[in-house]
Amino acid sequence: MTASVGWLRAFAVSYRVLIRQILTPGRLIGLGLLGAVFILIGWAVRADTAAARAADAADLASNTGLAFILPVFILVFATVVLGQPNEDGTLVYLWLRPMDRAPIVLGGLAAALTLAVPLVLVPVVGAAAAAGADTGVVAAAAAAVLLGAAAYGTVFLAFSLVVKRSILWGLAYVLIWESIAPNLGDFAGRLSLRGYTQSVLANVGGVDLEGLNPVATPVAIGVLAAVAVGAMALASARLARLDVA
Amino acid sequence: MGDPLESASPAEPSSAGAAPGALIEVAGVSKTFGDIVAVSDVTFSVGPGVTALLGPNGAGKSTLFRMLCGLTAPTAGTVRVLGADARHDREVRGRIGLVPQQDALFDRIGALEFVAIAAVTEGMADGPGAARRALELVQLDPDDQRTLSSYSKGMRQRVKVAAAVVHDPEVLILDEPLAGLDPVQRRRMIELLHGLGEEGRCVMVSSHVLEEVSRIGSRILVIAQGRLVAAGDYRDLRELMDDRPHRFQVKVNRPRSFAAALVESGAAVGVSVGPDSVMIDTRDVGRLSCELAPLARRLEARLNRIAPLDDDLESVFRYLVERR
Repeated sequence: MTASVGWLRAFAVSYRVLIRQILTPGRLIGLGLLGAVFILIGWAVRADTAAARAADAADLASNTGLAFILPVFILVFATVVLGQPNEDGTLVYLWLRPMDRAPIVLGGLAAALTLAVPLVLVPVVGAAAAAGADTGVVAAAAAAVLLGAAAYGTVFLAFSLVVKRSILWGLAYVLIWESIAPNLGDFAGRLSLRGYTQSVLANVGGVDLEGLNPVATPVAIGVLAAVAVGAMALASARLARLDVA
Repeated sequence: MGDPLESASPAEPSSAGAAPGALIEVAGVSKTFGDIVAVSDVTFSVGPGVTALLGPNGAGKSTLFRMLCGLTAPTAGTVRVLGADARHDREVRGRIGLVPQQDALFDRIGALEFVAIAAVTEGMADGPGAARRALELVQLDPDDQRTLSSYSKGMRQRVKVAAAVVHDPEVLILDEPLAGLDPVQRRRMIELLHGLGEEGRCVMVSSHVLEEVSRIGSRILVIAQGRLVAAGDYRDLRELMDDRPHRFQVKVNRPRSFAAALVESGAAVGVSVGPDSVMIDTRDVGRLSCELAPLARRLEARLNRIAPLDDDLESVFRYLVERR
């Protein structure tokens, strides 16, 4: 006879197992190289500008770092962390245990972010610094990355439990919707996570970003946090109702 | 120990309600995936001991097992394991051990860690200790440092069994557990399953191989095309299968007169005539084989080929489905 498993143990075991399943040399090397290229671009921006301005560096961090590297890198890890076990059948070894669903989701999220956040943070912050950003912009970029990672991570993880081929749907969301939404007016722009991470960068770093009408920092943080909590609840509920192979 | 198959008459699927002492109760259960009916109106109950679920590939065995464990919900009907629905009852899930059919494991860790994780997530205090004992039970080395990715199919199968029994479950569900095992491992695995059943556990094992099932469990449920088509003792099932009409194809140069003579002799219960062959249904294979050559001689016909058409297990299942 066995006892139910507590939250902390369920979280720790899920984290320990899942992080090793998604830690592949291919992912680390591929994304690491992309990040290194981004830092080189930062150097190129600085070399190309006679007097490097903080705004140029902030634009680089915003338009490429927050708009592309952050969501895409997070997508790669967040969609596979539970999506892959669900597809290959190993999810049953966590699902069937007498554990709550939320710590499994949290463990998966933590595993994905443990690997993805350094791969995003280093190039985004590094490129901003290399391009001549001051300490304030660099710190703001780091804050935007961390907040954005939590929101994107939970959304994409929930995605992977709701739709098949979640990585393609996630890419479509990032590359199509998040690119188009800001051009469709303020309301549509508010339906995109990118606007909130960029608002954090603009407000905290004290810079104007090209084409951005930022929301207030508390609103941006609140929305990103609410999205993360909502997606977390959705993912947990979805996991409980999932048809497991 | 009670009768493993609590409510089933020999060679007839059970339609009775839950029997007292049943650990698994399945009542009117169906499962569809879109237009595909995987399981159709299945009812049975099972008590302690070993029960085999026999059926061809695609019959619905795995879907039925997944519903027992709560991994998927039935479209209709109710499934109760230890009196509860495992899909919604966390405590009951901890009293079930499952060996799933799929081969996938957490490949980047070793056997000891894999089984220890199973123990810990089942709420056991000493995960590694329990994992060692479970691995030794299936004759695997707990100190093997290799990751599971380097294990053979048979070893992976035994790791899955160790992970399923590590927490000493009351109900053990094994989906094709003998797949990939060599004959010695099969024998040991069957001994292990019998041992677990004799301890009073409810052990359900699926297979699509009849001879395998005869060694796994004396109590058998037969499922084909999603329906429970027979249930009972292995000997009853064997008799039922032996009693069914057998079909042969005989290539002969005078099929029409040969067919008529066969029916007249009583050796065939049905015939259908083709351009150069006769399809024969018979209930008495021995008599038919004695009649064929003399009949051909008498009619001055030339027999070119005699071939059984339904000696495979699939045809047995087909027969069981058709007779319902």
